[in-house]
Amino acid sequence: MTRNFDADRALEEWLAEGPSQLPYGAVDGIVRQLNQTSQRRSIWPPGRELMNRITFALGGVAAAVALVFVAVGLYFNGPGVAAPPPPTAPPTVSPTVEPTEAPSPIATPRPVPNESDLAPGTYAIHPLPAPDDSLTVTLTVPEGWHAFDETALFPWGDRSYEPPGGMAILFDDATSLNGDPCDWSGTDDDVSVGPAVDDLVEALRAQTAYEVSDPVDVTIGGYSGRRVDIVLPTEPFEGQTSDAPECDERNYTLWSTAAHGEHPITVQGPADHWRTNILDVDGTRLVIVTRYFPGTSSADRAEMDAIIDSIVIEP
Amino acid sequence: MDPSLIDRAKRGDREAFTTLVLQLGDRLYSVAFRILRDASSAEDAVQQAFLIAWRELPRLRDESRLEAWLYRLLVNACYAEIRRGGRWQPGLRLVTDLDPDPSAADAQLSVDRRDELERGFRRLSAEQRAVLVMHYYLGLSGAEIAEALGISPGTVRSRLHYARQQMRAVLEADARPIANGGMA
Repeated sequence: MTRNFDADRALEEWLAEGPSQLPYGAVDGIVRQLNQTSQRRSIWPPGRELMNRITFALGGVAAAVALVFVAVGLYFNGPGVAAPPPPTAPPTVSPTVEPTEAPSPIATPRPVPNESDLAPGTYAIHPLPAPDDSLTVTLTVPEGWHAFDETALFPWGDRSYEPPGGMAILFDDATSLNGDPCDWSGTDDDVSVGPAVDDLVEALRAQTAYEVSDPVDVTIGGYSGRRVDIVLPTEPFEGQTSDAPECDERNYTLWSTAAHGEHPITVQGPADHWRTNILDVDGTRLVIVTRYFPGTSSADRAEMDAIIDSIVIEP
Repeated sequence: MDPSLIDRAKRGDREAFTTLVLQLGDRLYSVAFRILRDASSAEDAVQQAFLIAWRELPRLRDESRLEAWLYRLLVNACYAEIRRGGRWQPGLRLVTDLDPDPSAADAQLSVDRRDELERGFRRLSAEQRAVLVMHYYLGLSGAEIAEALGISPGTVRSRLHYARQQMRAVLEADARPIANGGMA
């Protein structure tokens, strides 16, 4: 016997069940405590909220600095990647991609579908906005990865992107750094970054809110660059979560990006590690970040290494 | 909602605020219960949210955002309840509004299904539960959830997707052919 069902409908029906009326005793309790609770007077100068909204909207739009973050994989490996196969036009795939045979370095890459679970195989992404959107990153993923926004990969199922043991691979382009990753809305303290690899390295190294390691040379997909390891602090976060209660929108955010529009990539929890590889692809900067936590298993990190090792870049 | 009611509450009128509690309390409680799966914790979360709202109401500049703001306070209160860790009790519940004439097999299936959903739900983080409830129960869009919770739409999408995947994984694991006395 098998059971067929619509999971979404089951979820809706299940959530529709249950109480929907606040017990009157609870109302009484609230009213009693009102008498013992004073209101705080507003401290904002006139117009601050409107100002914040405007500056936040502008804050998401920064100069286009193409950074594609490739998460983690390279972190200790030396140079050397197989020569890239000639790119081919990938076939159209539906969000529910059928499982394929074992991935091969010369397999025809498919486009990464947005917000879909990926069958094991080789995929092609275009992580940079125009005019650099022809730059192609091809990579091979095993079972258990999900594509989000077409420029980020994270595991699903029993694994996650969240602390204490999560991970993710990010493809992004930072347009400017936030001077204060906690108080990041607006552009007043944004740090402009020049177009070169070393410009971003130096800008990151000048930040004081988080630790940035000394840069080392790195090669990914046949292109060289510099790598720094960023270790994010623990203090802004509420427990082992991405919730930073004292920060703007409760998010801790390092930079604004062109790849993600006005929705910046946020730090996912305390002691989040961002292995940040900054590459020069024939004059175009490409940043690839591998994210992990102290609790991420060595096996998981090795899996990300393998994904990074599989990368082929076509300018 | 009557703007003058909110305005009076902002100026310290407790009676006006009590009216707001009566108007909005049921919905907030419904959301809190569905996140926390416990009536007592949900009551505490709602009380906490309203007390903070009373205290901070003068700082609310845009009165049209009252409800979204209340949702944010409520969800934060729910997070605090979950992290206190004392009352996550999914349990099994016999639902009283089953089809009045179900077959015995269907009734058993419904109870099993609810157990599966509870089990899947408890695996979610507090943040994932919140977006799932706001989407499936309140019917809010990603943008509305983002505004209510004060997070980016991208974060909403990722949390919602991951939560759905977890729930589907639990349900689909039990949808495999049943053989050998029901051991899947």
